[in-house]
Amino acid sequence: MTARVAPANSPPLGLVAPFLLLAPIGLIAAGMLIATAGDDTFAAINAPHTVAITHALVLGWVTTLMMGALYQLGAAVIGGRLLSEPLARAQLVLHVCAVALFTWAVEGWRTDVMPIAGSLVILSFALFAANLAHALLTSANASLPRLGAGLGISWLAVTGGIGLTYALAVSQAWFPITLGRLAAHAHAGLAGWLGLTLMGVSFQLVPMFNVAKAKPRHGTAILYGTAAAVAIFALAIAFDPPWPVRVALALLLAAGPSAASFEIVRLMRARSKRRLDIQGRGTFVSVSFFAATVVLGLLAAIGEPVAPGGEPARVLLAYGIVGIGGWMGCAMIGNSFKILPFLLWYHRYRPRVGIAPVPVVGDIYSETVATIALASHAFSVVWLAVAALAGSMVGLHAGGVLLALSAAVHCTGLAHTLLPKTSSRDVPSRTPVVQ
Amino acid sequence: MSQQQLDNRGLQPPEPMVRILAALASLENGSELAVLMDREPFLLYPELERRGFEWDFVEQAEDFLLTIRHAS
Repeated sequence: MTARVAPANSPPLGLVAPFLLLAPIGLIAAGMLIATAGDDTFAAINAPHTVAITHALVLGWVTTLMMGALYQLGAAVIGGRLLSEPLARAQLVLHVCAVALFTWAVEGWRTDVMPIAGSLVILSFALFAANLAHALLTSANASLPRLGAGLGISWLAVTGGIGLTYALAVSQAWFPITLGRLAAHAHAGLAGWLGLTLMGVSFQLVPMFNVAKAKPRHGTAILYGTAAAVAIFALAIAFDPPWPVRVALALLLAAGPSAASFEIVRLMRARSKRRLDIQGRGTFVSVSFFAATVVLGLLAAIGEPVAPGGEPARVLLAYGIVGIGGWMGCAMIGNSFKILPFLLWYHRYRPRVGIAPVPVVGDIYSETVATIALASHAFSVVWLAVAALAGSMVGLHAGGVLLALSAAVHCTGLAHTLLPKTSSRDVPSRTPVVQ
Repeated sequence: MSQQQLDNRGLQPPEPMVRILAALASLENGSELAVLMDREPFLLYPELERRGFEWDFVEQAEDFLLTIRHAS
């Protein structure tokens, strides 16, 4: 159940590219915040600076990139029509401003600003969801990307609703935000919004970019099962259950993405394009980080008995870094270096194919820069996770700098794709016919 | 009717489109281009229409066959 591509619906380059180009700035900001983390980082996962880092990563980087990718895929791959392209452009401006304000408010624990900034973030979510939902509803094709994106934006709404409630709760002293309640919000976002969307989209993009004839066997069951598991997890974890229940919930939550990872690996092994490009490498690295995320998640669920130094926050920190930065991040980096060049090629060079030599997608982005961006990012994530587990503040600060530098490489690599390119190969207008 | 053949299997998007459009530049009237594909090339169709071609797309046992000719 993969989607039929609908090129006529492809949104303009000027709509999608800014999302992809601005997203790494969120990662740079997160890296700088990590580099300036204080001593309370290992004491509590809900320290304001750590919460600010998390939102810079999730809202500033991953969500911005995911929104841009979905504006493109929702129209061109899922086959629907966006509600309004100007609305999508306005939403980007709102989103960037709202996330910057919210991160600043959380970092300084400015409880009077947090509900206002949070409301602006929610407004950004609402505009995005309305635009994408229109594309999903006007698509005639039932497909896994459509299902994944539909379930994903449903969880985005839930995550945003919980987040705004928490911001108001802090501001108005309604109720305490326990670790369980924080976990419910975090996993609704990570596994619900980002996980479901990534899985649904990957079921389409992995075989397409890697030329695999195989199709996902259990995609629909995996997506619905994961959505149900996120709901059960979020409802139960919010009551701060004892660790055996937390472990059972963690296993339940991990089941769907684990099955999806096996599907992705099976699709990759069935590819006819044997040489891995940046998207293929990103996919494998992402799946590897997902395995590490599950292990760390189980340790985090057990909590204090297995926490290094008796500080559970260190495991939780490593778990968050590997889950957001590794699992999500590496897949997003790999896909961004395929989506943006492909989009550029389609809008800029397709009309001239066969008439004049045009660059291929491989000419539009630098495979070397993309590989450096992915490798340095993956290295930074491993470094940060080890530093967190070891309780090394110096290591954490150095990892933050590394993360920001790798994000700068990512950003530069994507910006470089916009420069005019020429064909590296002579693709003559009259020859490639073999007989 | 003469037929030219092109094997586009194992190529990632948009290389199949590049090779097909380049081949069509030299396709004479009355000839057709038969292309073996890994998947249906949805992105290609608007470009074929714009350039005045028509096509048939058939699923075979292991792959797909796209046959393109000048629109009548």
